[in-house]
This record gives sequence, structure tokens and C-alpha cells, in this order.
Amino acid sequence: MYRNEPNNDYRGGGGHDFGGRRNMSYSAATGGRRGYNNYNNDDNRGRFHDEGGYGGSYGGGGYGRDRGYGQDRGYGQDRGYGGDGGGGRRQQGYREQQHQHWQEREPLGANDDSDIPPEVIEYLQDLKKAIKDHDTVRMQHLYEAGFREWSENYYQQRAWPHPKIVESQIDDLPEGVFTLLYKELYYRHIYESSRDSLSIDQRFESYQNYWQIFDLILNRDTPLDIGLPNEWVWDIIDEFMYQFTAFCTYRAKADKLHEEEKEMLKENEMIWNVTVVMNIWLKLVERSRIQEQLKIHNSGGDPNFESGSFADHPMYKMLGYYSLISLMRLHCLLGDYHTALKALDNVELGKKHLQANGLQACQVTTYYHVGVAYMMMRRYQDAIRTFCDLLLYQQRATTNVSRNHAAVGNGIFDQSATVGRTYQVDTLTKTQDKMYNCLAVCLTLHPMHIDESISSSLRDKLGDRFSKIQKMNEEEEFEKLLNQGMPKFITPATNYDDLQPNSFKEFQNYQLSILKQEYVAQNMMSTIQSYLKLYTSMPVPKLANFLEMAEDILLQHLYTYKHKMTNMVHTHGSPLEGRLECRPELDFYIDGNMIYIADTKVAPRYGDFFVRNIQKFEELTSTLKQITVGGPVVKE
Amino acid sequence: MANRGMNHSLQSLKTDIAKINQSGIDKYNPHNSRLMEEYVDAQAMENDYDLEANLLLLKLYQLNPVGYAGPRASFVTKILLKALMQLPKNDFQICKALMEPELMRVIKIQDVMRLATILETCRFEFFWEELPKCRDTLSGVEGFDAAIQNYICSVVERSNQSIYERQLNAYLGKLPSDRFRRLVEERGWKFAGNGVIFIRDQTSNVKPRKIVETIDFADVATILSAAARS
Repeated sequence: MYRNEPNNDYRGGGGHDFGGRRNMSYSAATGGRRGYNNYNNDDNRGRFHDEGGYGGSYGGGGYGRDRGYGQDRGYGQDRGYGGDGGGGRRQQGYREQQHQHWQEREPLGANDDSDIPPEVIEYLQDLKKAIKDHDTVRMQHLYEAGFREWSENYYQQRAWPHPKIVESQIDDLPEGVFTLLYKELYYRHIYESSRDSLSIDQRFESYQNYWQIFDLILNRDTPLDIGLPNEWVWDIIDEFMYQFTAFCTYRAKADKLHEEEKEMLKENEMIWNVTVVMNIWLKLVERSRIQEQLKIHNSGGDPNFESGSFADHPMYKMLGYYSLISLMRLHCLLGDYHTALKALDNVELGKKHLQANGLQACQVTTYYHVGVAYMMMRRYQDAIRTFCDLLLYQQRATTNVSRNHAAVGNGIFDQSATVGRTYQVDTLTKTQDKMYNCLAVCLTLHPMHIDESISSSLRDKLGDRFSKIQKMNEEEEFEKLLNQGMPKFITPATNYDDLQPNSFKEFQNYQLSILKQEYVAQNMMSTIQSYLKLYTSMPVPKLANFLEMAEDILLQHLYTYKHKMTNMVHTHGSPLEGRLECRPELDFYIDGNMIYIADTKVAPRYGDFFVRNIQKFEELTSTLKQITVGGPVVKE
Repeated sequence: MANRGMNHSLQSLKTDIAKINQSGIDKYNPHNSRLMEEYVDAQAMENDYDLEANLLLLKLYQLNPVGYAGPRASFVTKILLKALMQLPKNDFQICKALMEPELMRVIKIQDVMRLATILETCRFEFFWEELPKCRDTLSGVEGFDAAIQNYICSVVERSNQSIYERQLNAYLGKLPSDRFRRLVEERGWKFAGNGVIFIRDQTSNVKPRKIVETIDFADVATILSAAARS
């Protein structure tokens, strides 16, 4: 542990600092304050079991599956997880093994070099001063540009200086704020640079640091006031989510790990535990009263909370909002699409929302996951609208020369203008590409017209692949395209007694198979449609004849089309709201023996064409104005 | 809190479940699953439905995997059947996505999946042929047939202006004539003579449309402001 905390209060986190489960404190509910590594004292667990209670047993790893709380199983009696990787109690053999790991898989290596370059020291001093002064603007600059810059200059091949060394050279701020934030950056940098080759220690340590950050934020009487910029707040929440999903993947592959690692996982089930992670977000949502705030805001009111309260504090407001997004994301990745959208009950997505809320990274993540949830729920129209809204907004935000004037903060959040951050551009572009894939899938399963410019970039990106899957009967290509568009789903819990190789792949494939079945169910439709398009009415036997198909089979296909085109469509308010609608662009009805067909015509569109050309013209004339052609300049 | 072996009324279960739903993280207490399972049984028996409670049970299963999922399968089967009864709504798809994939190996679950595929691809006559083979799977689920008939009617309502009596009755599983007559009348459909049933006038629902361009102010705002500046 890096912080000089009197440890005895928290020893046996499962234990005695909370009385009844009704009055449970946050610390009790999330695993015992700072004590998750002390699992020694779990004799309290039986008590909760007897009460039929649950809450308290989150503490210290007691949250248990079928193993039952009363079961006598010592947690980490001789293998407490040592916070800073010291792990003195670990067996020698394991240490050697781990050492090898570091050499094989750890390109960054631990950086124990106590000789920190003076520029970096200066940078860290600056950062500390900005945090101390609550200087948001300065912090933002140091956070966004500075950290990148020094990472590139000094730390491409290795980790940033170990927090312990930094701590020894730079005095910490009250409550250890500086070290906590530095460590957050430190581990994020390690995660970013070594991805899959992280050691289990690093994963645990980083978790512990997040845990301490959230503890610091939540477990207090007055808001923590450090003026953290929104970008950083979002990144903390986002990175926490990322590392959690990374850990889930790691854990799901437990069958491939060393025995020692498996043991450590088994004994530290509370670390990166899905329920604990979820609870942290729920607590942040609760603390910030964000649901209430959004409700008031939506009904046109002005949420006015007592000044100095958590709900009134901008950082807590953002933490609450970002936590909602994270809950949505988490449920989406668990395949629980209904609950995912329910988390955003009070968030009205759409063009207005996009214009009001600034952070690009947050928007892209939100709309992508919401879109995926809609798509998986067979609400294709809503999915298409969600993807298109975002892609269109992004397209405008990036092509728009005067975009800095565009973002007007009329939401409840005081947002800074949308500023693209270079280092995130990669991830954002990737997510947007995924969106195009999903969009292609939705448009195949539910054909409809979309904005001209999105449609043309869709064709640019996917080319023949899009028209190929539209012909149906291209299952393989469909699956490939879908696979590239889907997020990585997570299997949050592992039954160590019954390790299934590839269990997480199974879940991924299972989700894919759901849409694949939808695709197969409609495999005849594009052929049938192409005939229908040619007529305004035709008898059933005639069409059956064209298709060389029995009449009753044809009717099945026609009914299937009607059924599959019947989607819940969002009306207003919560993303879950909506009503069943069946308004395909190529529609028909059957009257006894006759099919009557109604097609949709798209009137030519000029707006976009003109807008683009006006812009081009503006640019051209402004360039022309700056050109002087030979001879003396004639003054007007 | 529920104890094993106690049977709660649907109403008291609803009260308990509502409490669980509001309990924040305590929702995910694995001990809740016993009560939730009882609730699923009660829903099936008394033809009641609660999607969110059922999703929570599926979630509890997901978060607490067991080696052998057998005992869970009967509850999941019921959840899926209840969701299927909500057709044409998308509940089945929602529940299916949250199910543990391993359960696909269970015969009962396979039965439900097969019925679902048949229904979703509108092979109605075939559905009634297959159904008797799955009666075991369906035991303890009240009102299933009626719910499916309701779904089939909704598809017809969306697709047909008129339909042949013989054809419609085949879709509905060859009902005795008095029940068939009653069902047609309940839906407000008319026997139009010559073995034809008039469903509803579709000309107003299904007609050629034209998508006309609409330009929002926001779309041109930047252009306008640029024009104003120069």
C-alpha cells in the first residue's frame, strides 16, 4: 500500500465496521474500505447467511455464489494480495514464474529508476500545483497534451516512474489526491501500452487504485473539490470500464492460465467483480442524484440543489451521468439490452442531446452501445436513427469550419466545446467504423432510406460487401460484417470448478447467432421484393409461379416480411418507450387472392448538394481573395 | 425473504419483487433467485407477466454460473414461453439474448426455440402440427394457445384486407366452428359471404408514399451565419 493509512480499522474488510445490512455504508457494500486485500477475517459471513441477508457480505469477498456464506473456506489465509506487488508471502516458485512472465510478456517492465528526468519532475510538479489550485484549464492542458508528450518522449519503452518513487520525490496533496490521480495515469499508460501482456499484479493494483479513488469520492461528508476537467472525469470512468472488460476477458480464459494465477483469481473474486463494479456506478448515480436532475431538466425545470451538496457539484454531476452511461454499456455487453436502455430512462437521445452534451468520446460510446442494444432487440428503425444521428453529427462536427462556435451549452451540463483529442481519435474512428457495420446490418434487415451523406459514406466504407449481404443468402459475409461491428461481449462470472474453454467466445457467437437467424428468416425477401416492386397489384398464384414456389410457402414469406417489419419504434422520452409500427418502405396487403403493392418514392434531394457546394464556393472565394496575380496591387 | 417450500400468492410475490427491484445492488443477491423462480411459476400458472423481473432472474443466473444448469432450465423455459406469448412484441428476443448459451443443449429449451422459429417465420399450420409434440414443455403455462392465436391474428390484421375462412382457420389451428366464429367476431372482423372474411380496409394503411426532403434550420444555420459574415 502506498498510503500511510492505519490499516487496522479496515482489517478484514468483511467485517465489523457495519452493523445492520439496512444501514450499510458504501464501504461495507463494496468490499470493505481499502481492505480488499485482507481476506483473513471472514468468520462474519455466516452471520449474514443466517439473516438471509446479503448486502454486508460484499465485504471482503464474501459475496458468494453457490458456495454459501457459511461454508468454511479460508480466503487468502496465506496469500493476501500484496498491494504493491511485494507479495512476500507468495511462494518462491511463483515469484520466479512471475518474473519470467514479466520478461516474456511485459514490454514495459517496472520502472524502478529513481532518476526521473527533470522535465518530467517539473511536469508532475505543475500537475500537482494545478490540482492544488483547482485550476481546471491548466489541468486540462497538462492532462491532455502534457502526459502524451512525455509518454512519447520518455516512456514509449517502459512505464512511467513508479508511484512510490514519485511519491518520495514529490510531496502528496491532502488525502493523497495527487498520488491517486498519478497512479490512475500510470496504470492507464501501462494498460494502453501492453494490452494483453499485463501481469495479474498490475491488474489487481490498478483496480485497487480505482477503488481508492471512488472511495475517496464517495465516502465523505462534503464533495471532493479538485476541479477535475470533464475529460479526465470521463476518462476515469471509461478506463475503469475498459479495464473491467479486459479483466473479464482475462478471467474467462482462466483455463489457459498458470495454476498460481488461477489460484489468485479464485481467492480474490471481489477484485474486478461485476457486482462491485456495478455498485460503484450505482453509488455514483445515487450520490449525484442525477436521475432526479435529469427528470427535472427534461420537464423544463432547473434542478436547484442546495449549494455545497453533492448533487450541486459539477464533478459529481458528471460522474453520475457518466456512470449511467457505463451502466448502460455494461448491461449491453452482458446481453441485457432492455436493462441497458432502462438505465438511460431519463436521457432523451437524439439531435438535441448531441448538440447539448459536449464530450465526443462519451457521445460516440453512448450512441454506439444504444444502437447495438436497439439492433439486438429488433428495433432496427431506432438503431438506424441512433447511428445516423451520431454519424451525421460527427460528420458535420469534423467538416464544419466554424465548429467551435457550434456547441452551445444549453443542457444542464456546463460543457466545454467539442474538442477532438488526438490520442483518442483512433478509438473513436474504430467505433465509428463499427457503427457503419451495424448500420449496414440494420439496413439489410430493415431496408429504409437514410440521409444521403451517411448512405454514401456507408458505401465508401463497405463497398461491395454491403450490396452483397443485401442480396441475402450471404450468411458468411453477413456474419463477418456483423462480427466486425459488434462490441466484445463479456462473461462476467467464472465458475472455477467448471472452467469452460472458450466460454466467452461462446457468448459472443451466441449473440451473433441471434441476428444471423433474423437474416436467414428473411432470406427470400429480396427476391420477392424485386418482383413486388414491378407491380402495383398481382395475384398470389402469379407471383408464386414467378418464384417457382408453392402458394402457401409464398404466403409464409409475405407474412414473415410483415412480421419482421413490425418493430417497436421510439416515440419520445425514455429510449425504451415506443409503439409497434409496421411501415416498411415497400408495403403491400393481401385481399383474398390479390396482392396490392405500395412502394415509396424518394423525391430528389438538393439540400445537401447545395450546402456542400456553397461551402466549397466559400472556401474557394476566400482562397482567391488571398491570391495576388503579378503586377502591382490595385487598391480599390 | 422466501424460504424453501413456502408458496406465496401472486400478489404477495409482486410486493416482494417490487421491493427487490428497488433495492439497488441488493437486487443481484443470488438468494433472490428462489423468490424470483417462484414468481416465474406463478406468472405461468396465473397468466401474468413481468418482463423486468424475468430479466433479473436471467441476470442472476448469468452472474452465478453453475456447472450443471439442469434445475434452472425449467424456469428459463417458462420465461421464454411467457416472452413468446408477447409476440408480435420483441420480448422473446430480449430474453433469449440474456440466456446462458449452454442452456441451448437442454431439450425443453430446444423445443421452445423451435416453436419460436416456426412462429417467427409464420409457418402457422406447421406450428399447430408441432405443438402437440411439445406439450410436456408447455405444462404449467396457462393461456399459451390463446396468446399465439392472438399473435397470428395480429399478423393477419396487418397483412390482409380479406382472407379465406378456410385459410384463416388453418392458421389458427383448425378451431371448431363456433369458437372460430366467436374469435372472428371478437376481433371485429366480418363474414363477407362466399367463405371470405373481411379483416379491415387496408387502403388507408398501405399506400404509396413519397419521402420529401426536409431541411432543418440546424442544417443550414452554419451556412447562413457564414453568409451573414461575408
